[in-house]
Amino acid sequence: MSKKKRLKKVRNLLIEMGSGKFFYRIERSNKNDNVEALVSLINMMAEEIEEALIHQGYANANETIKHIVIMNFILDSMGRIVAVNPQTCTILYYLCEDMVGKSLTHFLNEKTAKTWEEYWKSIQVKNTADKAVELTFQTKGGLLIPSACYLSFLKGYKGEEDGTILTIVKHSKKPVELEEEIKQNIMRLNGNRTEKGTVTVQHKWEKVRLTYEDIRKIREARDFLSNNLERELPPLKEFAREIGTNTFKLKYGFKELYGTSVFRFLRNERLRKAKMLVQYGDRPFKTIAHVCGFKSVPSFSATFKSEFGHTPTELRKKYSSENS
Amino acid sequence: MLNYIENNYATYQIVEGILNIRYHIGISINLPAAVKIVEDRLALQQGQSYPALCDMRGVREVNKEARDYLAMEGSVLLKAVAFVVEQPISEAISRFYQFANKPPIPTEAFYTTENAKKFLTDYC
Repeated sequence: MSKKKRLKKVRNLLIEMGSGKFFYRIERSNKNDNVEALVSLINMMAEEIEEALIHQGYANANETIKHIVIMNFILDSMGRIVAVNPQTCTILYYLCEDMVGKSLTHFLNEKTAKTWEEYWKSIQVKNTADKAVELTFQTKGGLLIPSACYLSFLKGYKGEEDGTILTIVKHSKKPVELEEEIKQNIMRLNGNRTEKGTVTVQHKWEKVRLTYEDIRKIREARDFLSNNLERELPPLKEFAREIGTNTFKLKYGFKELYGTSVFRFLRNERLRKAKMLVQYGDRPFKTIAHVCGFKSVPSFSATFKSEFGHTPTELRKKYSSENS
Repeated sequence: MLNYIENNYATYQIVEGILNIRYHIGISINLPAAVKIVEDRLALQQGQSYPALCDMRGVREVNKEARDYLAMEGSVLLKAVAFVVEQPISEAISRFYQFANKPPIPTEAFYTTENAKKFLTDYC
């Protein structure tokens, strides 16, 4: 691919990101030049932002639905597209009539087209339950969309096969939705004015604003926890003071930024590390419990079991028997 | 003791207290690859901690899931990591990884193996 072509894709991707769509990627070439390095950085940045969007979604549940975009394909028994929803056409930049009747492989990148063909053959043999598969779609302009796809098999009333639905869920930020919201708020405001003669501004819930400084401090707190898993967590009040903030902001900000509480985060990180050490190392559990910040072996085992469904001993036994 | 392993993604060798990892040319790392990379490394280490010299000049791409896995699970039983990189791609990836994915162990990138080794001597 020439430099010009790759730069054109970079431009197109940045425009998409500007409009709130972070699920596009640029196809990588085999070159090792500055443009390729830029492409790799932009792809990684898009991945990070996409992830952050999804996260905000669950931290702020009453806002999610607006940001979800869905691609739906109905496929016939030959794997050809029977119908798509309009959003699919918008996302992939094809007209609906260009898509219907074609095989799904036309809209996948080379690599996953092969995967899909093999996969399709394999599910023709036995396709009872719904399935998930990773596929990468390709837009008309050549941008890529790596996607987790869900396959559901439709049955007719006599139990015969009646096509397959392929669903892909993505997230975006739509400025249009925001404007709609502002419009509705203004309308509500005007309505109140006419009814009562006075303006009553409703504060349903007021969000605390985190400044950049607050966010920086909370990030610091997270890094500190990750790097000091073995240390006992001081009382939150003290911990907040150490990083230069207060308990409320620490608690609230942590939840906003990472979608979890300080304690839960620390517990998860400790367990992640402990699991690796149990599975792949031969250190005694007492040492592992100690370096991962658990007070005692019994409490470590119990927490471990409640998280993973088996005790450290069971995991190590299973792993060492598999590898011997 | 076994001190050399090779898989589809890299070769691993322990020399003079340093774990040398050399990624194959042109590889893309996704989550299953990252898991295999860490698993084989830990098999070779047999529970011992080492500083690692990681020649990633051959790496073309590391996706988000793999970066997250390598930063956390991938840091287990490593005292420090020195990347050997070259401009522009592997350098860009290593810088991004260091700043965005924040591995919890000392991690630095170098253009030469000598400088990378020098950095690791503090952790031997």
